[in-house]
Amino acid sequence: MLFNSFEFLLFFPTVVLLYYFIPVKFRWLFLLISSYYFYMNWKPVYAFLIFFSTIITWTAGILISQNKNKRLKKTVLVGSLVINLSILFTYKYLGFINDNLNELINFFNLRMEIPDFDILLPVGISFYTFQSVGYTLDIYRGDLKPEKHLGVYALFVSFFPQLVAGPIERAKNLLPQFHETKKFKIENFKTGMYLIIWGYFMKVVISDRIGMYVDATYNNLDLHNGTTLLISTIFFSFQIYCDFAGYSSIAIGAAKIMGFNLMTNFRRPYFSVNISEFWSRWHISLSTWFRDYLYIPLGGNRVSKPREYFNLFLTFLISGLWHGANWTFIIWGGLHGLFNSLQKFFKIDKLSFRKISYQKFLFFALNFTLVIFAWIFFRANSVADAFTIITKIFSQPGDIYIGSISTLMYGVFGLSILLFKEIREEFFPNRMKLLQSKNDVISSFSLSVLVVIILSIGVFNGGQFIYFQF
Amino acid sequence: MKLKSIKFPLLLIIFTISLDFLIGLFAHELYFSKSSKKTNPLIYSFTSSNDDIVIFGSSRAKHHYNAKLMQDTIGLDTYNFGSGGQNIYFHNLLLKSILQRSTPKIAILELMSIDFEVTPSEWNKEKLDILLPLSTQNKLIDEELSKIDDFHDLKTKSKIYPFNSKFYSSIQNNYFTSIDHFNGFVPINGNSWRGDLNRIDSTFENIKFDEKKIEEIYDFLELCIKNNIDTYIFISPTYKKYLNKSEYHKILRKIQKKYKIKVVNFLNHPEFIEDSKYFKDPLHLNEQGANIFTEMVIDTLNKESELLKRIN
Repeated sequence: MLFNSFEFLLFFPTVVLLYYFIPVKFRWLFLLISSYYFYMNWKPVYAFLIFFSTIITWTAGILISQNKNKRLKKTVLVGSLVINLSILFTYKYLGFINDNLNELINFFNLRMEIPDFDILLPVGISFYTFQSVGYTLDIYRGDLKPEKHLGVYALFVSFFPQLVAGPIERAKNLLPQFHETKKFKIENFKTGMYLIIWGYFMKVVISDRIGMYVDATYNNLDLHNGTTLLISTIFFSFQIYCDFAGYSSIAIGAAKIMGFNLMTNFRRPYFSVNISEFWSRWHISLSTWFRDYLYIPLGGNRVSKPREYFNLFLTFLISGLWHGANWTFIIWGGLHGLFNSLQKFFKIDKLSFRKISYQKFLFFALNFTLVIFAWIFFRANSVADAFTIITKIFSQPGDIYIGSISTLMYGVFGLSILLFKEIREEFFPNRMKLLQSKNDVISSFSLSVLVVIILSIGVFNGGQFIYFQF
Repeated sequence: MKLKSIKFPLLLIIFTISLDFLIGLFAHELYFSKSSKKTNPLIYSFTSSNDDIVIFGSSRAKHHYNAKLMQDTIGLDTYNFGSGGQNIYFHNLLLKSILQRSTPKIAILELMSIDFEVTPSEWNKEKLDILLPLSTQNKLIDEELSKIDDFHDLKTKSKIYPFNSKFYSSIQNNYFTSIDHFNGFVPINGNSWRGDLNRIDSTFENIKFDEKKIEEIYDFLELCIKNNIDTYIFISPTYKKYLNKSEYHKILRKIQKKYKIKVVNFLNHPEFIEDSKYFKDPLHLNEQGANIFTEMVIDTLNKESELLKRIN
């Protein structure tokens, strides 16, 4: 079920209403059934994968905590990781490796039959796999006690607001909340509604609208000049941001209304002055996951400088691969690793600025340029396309493609509201809090205006969220 | 305490419903204003058209049949109902809507492969969503849209929703657009394009036929016959030569035989084939090409139509 589907608009209020009416002891079961129903709307059979992953990680958690033998603990951990990551590998990367092997064989003019793998990627597999793997690792490290209740643990893995596109929750944060008795609180409802409505605004008013322009240009490179492709790349940087941050906002808001606190996933990332800061504001649940479970175990920054840069680069490379089985994503991750290492080398990440200053603006602009340069690889249909785009941007200026004027006008209108809100929150956090005003009249009226804008110019057939494919 | 608890949700609901009602009302007035009715052919087509010769089809109909020229030459009220990107579902619904008001004397249905073949779902009945604003006034459209979308009735409880993404075009139709069509015919100028011509040829290979669409064509023709409308299927010219072995022609022959309807195929007409001066792009004639083609259509009607022979 998509958040931007009408089905979800009926499903969610029904779940919330029933959730608060159901006796507390049955709530976990109700949420578990609702979550599986939510997921099974795509391809029911893939629910078995979540269930399997749940059983494996839950059992591993219990075995690790009960065993005192370190070697045995490690064996259980490795076994659990191998099984979970193998599932992810099979569904997500086997086809990619197969294609590359075929190309390699053809390149050397060898004859070898490699079977074709064309499996539909289970929605959200990367998200719930990382969440359950994180749980097992926490128990192994002794940072967490295992969840004894299989049903509650199953709910932790499948909790519908964040099941298919995060935030990738930590067991320490989310699991205890399933044991708490949640009471309806108007403050939670207010915050939740604000996050949900704002999330929808980002998705259907901005992302899906400017996505039309981006698709028209990126899918027809031969028809467009460098100027258009540059504009399109800038648009894509906002499309992907509004798509993913919009989803996260709806997820966090939906959970909030039911009394659950999910972690913040985005904090105005384009206001970062270096790549390191960007990753502390962009997809925070993933970047902290990689920090805690990959970068730090590799030695983090407590090693020699060259090793630290290598650790950084490797972490980002793997992060790129996590996003998709394609060289474009790997290069995108590699670029972020490279930029981050270079900025560390030149100590750009150590610079401090006044809240509003020319220097800060300069570094913000430089960082934004680096980020959108990397987005070219993320969005391009192939590596060759990405290089075509870059070449055209630097060598073929021209008139900007307009296409549908209404698409541009609605998109730019939505973007203006986003920029106004983000600038206010970044630089003037205590001024003009319209959507989150403490005054009920102001906040409810502002949110109503947002709903009306969504109804007026939102795209209602925009399809699924980009991050579902990861 | 209790009042405080419900104040925010209550206000949110009241404000949202009020704003939806007010802006929806404004959008409705803007969309159906006097000047909008003149500049937006869709409103005329579904609400007040009353013509003797009616032309149905996609953008190829819209840009190829000079309805004004036909009206002036034949002497019967003629209107071109061609609509960009639309297919047989749209034409059928439009015909039903017209028949509620009047019965045309002659109907021309412009067809091409897309009217027969399997296309992505958003190119099928879903394309009818451009009629959402009209569903507020036309029960037939409302019923048809309900069949496509299970939640149509619920969604249209919102007064704004039917006019979603129509604000810009409504403002344009009211204040910035002069009438750019001649009885629905919209001429296009120029004869240059930049695209892959070979891609056009391939569109006729490996066609998968959509039985539902073919059924819809049959429905359309049966409705015409039932109402004694002199009906013609035309296939207007294209720049590139299409594959003649296509199954597509078999269906056309079947239609011709079954309904005893004249199918006039200009697809590979020697006057037009590979003569780029008549084309805006490989699938669309420019104004010069459209006028020559329209003359040919008029000639065909004069030769074939018993009705016109009687009038003349």
